[in-house]
Amino acid sequence: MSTAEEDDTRLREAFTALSPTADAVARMQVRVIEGHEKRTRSLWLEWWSLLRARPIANGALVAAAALILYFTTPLGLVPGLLRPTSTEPQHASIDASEARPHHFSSVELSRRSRSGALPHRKQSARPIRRPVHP
Amino acid sequence: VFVFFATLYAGPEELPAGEEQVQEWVRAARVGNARAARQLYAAHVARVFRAVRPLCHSDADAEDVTQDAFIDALSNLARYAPRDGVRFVGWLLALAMNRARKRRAHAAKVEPTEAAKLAALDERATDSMEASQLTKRALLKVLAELPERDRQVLALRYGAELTAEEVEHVTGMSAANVRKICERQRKVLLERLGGAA
Repeated sequence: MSTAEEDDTRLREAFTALSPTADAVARMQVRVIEGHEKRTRSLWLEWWSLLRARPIANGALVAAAALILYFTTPLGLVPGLLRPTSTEPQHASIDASEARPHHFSSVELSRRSRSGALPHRKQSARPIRRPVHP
Repeated sequence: VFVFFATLYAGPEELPAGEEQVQEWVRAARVGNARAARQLYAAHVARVFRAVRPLCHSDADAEDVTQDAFIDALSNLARYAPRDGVRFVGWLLALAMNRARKRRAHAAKVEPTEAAKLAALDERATDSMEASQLTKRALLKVLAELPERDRQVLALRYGAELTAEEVEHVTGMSAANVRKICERQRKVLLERLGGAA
């Protein structure tokens, strides 16, 4: 062993005097483990850190888990329930007898621009059919 | 089931013997294995403490810095990426050194200098102290008189037992510069320690 290596070894031995006592190690361990386990982290961060740790492997597992949950539990119904219910279709009747220039009021126009459908128009009274006697 | 399969995944990195076990603990701790976190702590606590102690004013300060560094490390394991020639302890010590530097900068405003504190303590040293305590006191006194950069390099090289390349990773100094500092201060330290003993 060369002199430099011997000196290094002697210094390493000297530095072992700085090692923490068993009490200090136990004290720190309690605080470290408690601090680590009791830290408040959002669920999103937990998942994000999982994906960052192993993007491909964990991403594939997350996708598989999501598919299993979607198809084997009622969870798949949730998006259907959240979808807005469709309104009844409104058909604008164009009657030849009523063919006249129709001026939409500003309220009707705004309603049309929101819904995209023609505004509901009052239907004319149906003509009374008289029974035909031979 | 998810955690179980996630822990089975082994990374592609090839590391020297001994470090493989540490990397396994890291992988397990990342996905929430508390036992692996404890093992990581037990394997590295003494090294981290020895490295930060010369940069702190007291044992209590060093304890705080060490525990904060471990909490930081365990909380941010997802950010850790193994590098060639640098062990996990290198990354851990980079966090610890950063913590120690911040604490030292904060404490410098309110506390007396370390040399002054050690000088005051030295007056109270008694013959009843154990040899290891005397060595510790002498070593801290000698280190306190060195420039901070040299003290940090020596603490990492001999306290944490890092290689010059790992010290380069932690401090940002070149490995050649680290070796030069060690060579220069080694004899000074040994002479002063020999004189103190």
